[in-house]
Amino acid sequence: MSGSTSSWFKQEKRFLYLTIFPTVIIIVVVGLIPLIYMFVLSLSDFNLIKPPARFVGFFNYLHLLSNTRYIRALTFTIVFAFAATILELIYGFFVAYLLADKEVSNSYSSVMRTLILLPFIVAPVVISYVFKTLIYDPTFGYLNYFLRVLHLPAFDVYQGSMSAPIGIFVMEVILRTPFIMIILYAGISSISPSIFDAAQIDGASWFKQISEIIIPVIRPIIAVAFVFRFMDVLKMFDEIYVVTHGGPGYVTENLSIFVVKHAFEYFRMGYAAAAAFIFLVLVMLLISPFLKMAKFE
Amino acid sequence: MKNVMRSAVVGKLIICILLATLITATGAYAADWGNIDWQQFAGTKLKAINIPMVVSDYGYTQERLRDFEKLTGMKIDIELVSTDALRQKLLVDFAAGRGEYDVSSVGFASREEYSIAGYLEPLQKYLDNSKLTDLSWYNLDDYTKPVFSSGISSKAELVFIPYTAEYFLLWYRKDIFENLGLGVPLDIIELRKTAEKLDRVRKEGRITAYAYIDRVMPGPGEAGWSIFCHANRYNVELVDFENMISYLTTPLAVEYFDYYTSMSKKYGPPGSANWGWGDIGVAYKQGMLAMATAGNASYRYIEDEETSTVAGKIGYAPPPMNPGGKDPLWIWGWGINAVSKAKEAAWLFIEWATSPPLVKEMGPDYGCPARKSAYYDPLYLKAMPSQEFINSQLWMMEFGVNSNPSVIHAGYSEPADIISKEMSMVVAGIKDVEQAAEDAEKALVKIGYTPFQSYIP
Repeated sequence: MSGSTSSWFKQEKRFLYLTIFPTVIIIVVVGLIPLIYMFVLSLSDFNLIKPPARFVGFFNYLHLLSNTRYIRALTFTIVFAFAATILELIYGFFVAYLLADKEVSNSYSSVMRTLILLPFIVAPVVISYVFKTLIYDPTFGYLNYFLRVLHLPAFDVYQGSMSAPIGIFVMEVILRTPFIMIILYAGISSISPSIFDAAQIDGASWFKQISEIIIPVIRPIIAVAFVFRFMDVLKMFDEIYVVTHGGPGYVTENLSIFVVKHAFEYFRMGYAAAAAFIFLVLVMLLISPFLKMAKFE
Repeated sequence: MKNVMRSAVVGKLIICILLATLITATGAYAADWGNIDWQQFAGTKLKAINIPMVVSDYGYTQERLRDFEKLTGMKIDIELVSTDALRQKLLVDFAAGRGEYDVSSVGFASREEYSIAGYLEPLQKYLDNSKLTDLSWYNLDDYTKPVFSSGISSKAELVFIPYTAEYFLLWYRKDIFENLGLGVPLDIIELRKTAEKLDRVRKEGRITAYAYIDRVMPGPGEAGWSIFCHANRYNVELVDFENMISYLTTPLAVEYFDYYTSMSKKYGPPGSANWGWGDIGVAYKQGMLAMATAGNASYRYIEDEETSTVAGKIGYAPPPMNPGGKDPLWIWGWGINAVSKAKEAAWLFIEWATSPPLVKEMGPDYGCPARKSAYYDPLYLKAMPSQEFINSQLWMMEFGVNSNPSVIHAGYSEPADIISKEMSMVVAGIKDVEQAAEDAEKALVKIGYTPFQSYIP
């Protein structure tokens, strides 16, 4: 009997490995091999318009770490990512909390969730052009039209050093909060209503319910939502490229813009690969604490 | 007997008529397309890449490409992409050595990038091969020297054949100028004075159009190109790409930067610091601008009666220049991939695409053909917006363009991007011109340039 059980177990294990094998192959081919190639490229001085490539060891890495433009882009990327993700979490949580309230009818909640999700499902490039031309532009955009009507100062993303980052930040929060809202809504909705009933009977305020019931219960979901959004914001490209091109000057240049410019405008492929590799290591270091938080207890 | 003889005569007559028709047809064919066998590579499939501007709508339309296929028995597939994507895709294909594209459109600015690395096939041998080219029919004298020589690289190799000849023109609103009694500015000082007058009149409420605009959005293909072209017209050197010398902090360069940024800040519409060429074009069509320096190739876009409120109201003139200044010539040409497996077939496509009959036929559609004769063709004259437009172009092609501008260099992109970024910060009010010029020079020094003051030849 034990022999047949053990042989069944071995068959099951073999079946499991066989079924995940194609996925592993795909991950290796589209993930691991390009990563290894990128690292090898980063050790060379490879310029597409001045071939061939020359091995330079870690020269690109050393140069980058003393490149103020790179450090500026790196700082902007991380600070922006933290600020945007935290604000999206707070805003998304409260919207999800309101929509998940039992006083709110299901149909109303469903309609609101669909409407809130609309900007999220439009292609980033398209929505970025809408923001750039139809909303923010002082000549063509309606934001400044309404500001003029209300006798308020104009908002020009290309004036001063703060307007552009603020413009990108507001756009990012409006467009991407729906994603967090949907994830957190699912988490909040999964909490049994009887727990809230019991808490109300015990006299718990709404704040206590949030801080003592909801957040502890959905903490792993919050961590997952944070990780996904944080990684997305770190590699943000379309919105910045379309709306400000990284300008004025270098004010909104993040790491994605830096890498794309060095790879596809200056054609310094080795240098761009090193910049991307440093970024990859940094992202893994930054998100690992949150991944630990996301473990289900 | 008589019937037999009559039949024989009729038969011979028929044969003579048929032969005469055949000879006439062959003769006509030879007169239109030269004395080569266009069918020698029948069955070959060619892949090409180009930008949409002179393909799809205005020049190499699907109908004309089918004519090429009928003439040669070959198949041609042209992929259309944006200007930036064209350069990226080509460089990746060249570097990988795949030869995915047999023929490509080569922008003048990319000539050195591609030719120095050996990515483009030298074309002289195809011109010299009488089986592939009928030189007397192809007529190289139909190009002005500046235009044809744009296809010759610094390695003295002919690497592309031009099909457009482009440069900046001054576009001005004839109606506004006539109402205000303004003359067309001829030099930089007059341009500034005219812009000031127009701005004053706008603030008084007599016109709604803003005086002047130029590109400030950073990038080598946006403000970068505009800054360097203006610098050529201003007659100031900013960067010696070949010897890697920076002149950015010289007094003349700083004066020029101050002129460029102040013209945009003072006279452009609000928010125009973030406009690319597309946004400028839309603003012009909506009547928001009184003057702009823009490419001659874009006239059709602006004069489109269905979408432009200023169609028929635009005047064209050579762009204002300082003494000694010229406008860099811009060319689009056809080149062959050095690793193409169908080079001779690809050459036949280029020969067809730049041939006298085709360029003459296409000229009225896109307005800036590279061949001189096209400018005197009655159909071209009829299709152009005005004689002033044609005269401006002819003047520019002979006297106004620099066919060997230093800006056409493989190392153009990064310095142009750096300079355009610094100037965008001046327009945004983040720093002043002197600081921007200094910071731009520091950034160039980091990538290997030497400031002029420290340069020892």
